[in-house]
Amino acid sequence: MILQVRDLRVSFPAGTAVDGISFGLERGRTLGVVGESGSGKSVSSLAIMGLHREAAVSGSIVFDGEELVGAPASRVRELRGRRMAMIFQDPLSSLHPFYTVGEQIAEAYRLHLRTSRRVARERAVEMLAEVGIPEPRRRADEYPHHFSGGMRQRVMIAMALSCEPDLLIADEPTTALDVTVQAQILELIRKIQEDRAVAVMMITHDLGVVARVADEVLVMYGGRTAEHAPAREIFRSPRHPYTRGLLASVLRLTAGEEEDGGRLPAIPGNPPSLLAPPSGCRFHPRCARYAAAPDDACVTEAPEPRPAGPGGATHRTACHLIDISGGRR
Amino acid sequence: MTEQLLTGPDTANRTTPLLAVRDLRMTFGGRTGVKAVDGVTFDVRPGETLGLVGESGCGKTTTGRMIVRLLEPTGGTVTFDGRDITHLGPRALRPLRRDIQMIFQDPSASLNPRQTVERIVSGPLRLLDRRGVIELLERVGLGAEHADRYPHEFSGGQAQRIGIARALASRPKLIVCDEPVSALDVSIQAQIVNLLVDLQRELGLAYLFIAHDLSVVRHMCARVAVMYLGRVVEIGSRESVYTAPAHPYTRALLSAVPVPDPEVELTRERIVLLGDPPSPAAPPPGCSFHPRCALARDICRTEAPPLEIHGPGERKVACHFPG
Repeated sequence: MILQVRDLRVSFPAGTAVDGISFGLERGRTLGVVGESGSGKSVSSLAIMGLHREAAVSGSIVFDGEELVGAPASRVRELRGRRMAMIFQDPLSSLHPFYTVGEQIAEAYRLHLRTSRRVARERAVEMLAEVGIPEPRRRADEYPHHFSGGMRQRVMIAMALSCEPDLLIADEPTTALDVTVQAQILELIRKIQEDRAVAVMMITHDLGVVARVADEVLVMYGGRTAEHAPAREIFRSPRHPYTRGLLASVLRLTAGEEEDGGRLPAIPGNPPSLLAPPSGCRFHPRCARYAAAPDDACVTEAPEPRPAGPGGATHRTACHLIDISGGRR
Repeated sequence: MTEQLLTGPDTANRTTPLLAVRDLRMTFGGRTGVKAVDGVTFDVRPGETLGLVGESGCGKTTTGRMIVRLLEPTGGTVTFDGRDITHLGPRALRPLRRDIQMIFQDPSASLNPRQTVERIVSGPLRLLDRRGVIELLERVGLGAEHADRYPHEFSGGQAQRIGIARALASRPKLIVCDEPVSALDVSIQAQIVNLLVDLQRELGLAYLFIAHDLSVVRHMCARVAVMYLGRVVEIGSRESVYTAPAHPYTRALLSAVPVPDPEVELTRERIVLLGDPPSPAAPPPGCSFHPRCALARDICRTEAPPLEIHGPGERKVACHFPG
């Protein structure tokens, strides 16, 4: 395990954004983290990267055998960029407009690996070539605004990978891109992962993207784990009412003709506010199963993720109302 | 002029179109400027939904803005309910504003933050009294208790409901929906899609549904137009466009959409296009898709293909080598 997260909690003065999540990630594997706004998916990833200054982070984040929660900021800074890297949704706001992209890639490399400017510059050109930027030597001297959205995201990936990290966190990396460009970037991430056996944490709201890239999926709701399972199982036999609702309501390219223009089975209500989250299971106010057969436990007690489903211990679901013997949908 | 347009070959079928767009053009920055929309033709019939899909910069939003006449076209015509509205002045447009409404992508940014919901929904013309506003709010899934609140008190999905109520206040015949669900959470998207479908059935509304998400368009629209760099490259029924796409760009677009099923994803054929969509400021010569097209031959580099009937039904394609 390159990354082992246990009972991670991230609290801000206004409320708790992540309330006890656990997962592990191996080299060369991709974990898809799915959730809606306020589910805590981005906050979790920033906590792993040690990027929360105002938040109280507790629990355990073990990266390659080393505990990061409570570690000195200088140590986390050494790892960040060197061994764990991150790319974001909007590459333009992550790139400095006054420096050429070559300088920006070289700077990170030089800082972490203490090489000469010349070596770092060569590395930048090499990385731009690797991520598929044509004429990399010339383009290294251009500024971010000279690049299209897809090309900027390639630059971000080049920068993130220049120091050969073991973990890449990608936070909605293709959400701002056109669909044909998204396909290129997902293909690039997949290829790089194969070549370098890097572990990828892919944070997204798009179930299609998850289906394309993830080996395992963590579904988050209201700062907690709803369901965590191998990707195939999440899509084939979802157990949590939220996962099921999400999969049933998502619009598809190939729906049955009888569904055309008809009503989608939508989940009612809105994602919970973290300032005043619902008691017990945070999904219960929107839950079809709770509505059909209300259970006091859903209102009073937060369900813990437990093994449920055909996958045995690898398929964990946090719901009071499911049959843990693993019946099929 | 109008008569002639309405009896053209494209509209020879049973229903007179509510909206007829012919060779519509928008060039920004003078004659030599950027051709954002470069000759677009389509109809929207009463009570139907036409989808307009394409990637950023393809001109779909500009087309929508010309139809609601937030922009004055630099060429072509827009005919609404038999009347040429292409160059109407502000005064002449006023009654038309009731008939054609618009819903925007970012619901909270399109609501005045200093007005109450009641004020927003009743609109500058004060079309509705309080009871009318409350009725409309209830119709879109909100309630009387929301009428005195301000936009910042609402979630994205609720704000979009307010935007829809505002659009409905003048009893329009056509609503131009510009990416109405793309800023919303997945579980909220389905709610808003359902609401739009219900409203159309009850009120007989026509929609021009502009979106980049092919899955949403598929669900909403019986007919679909695919745009690329200011032009329609394929238009036809949902079945023809989605199950037998004829333009190589439509095929690539459809194959690029990730499908929420890992087993399908593992096996399906994917056409990964090279490069980015070109800039409308410097369009390639000939067919503007040719630099990214695997099927491109010499003629594609020199000659722009016209939009022509291809295959059964009304499907049209602008390609020298349609599939």
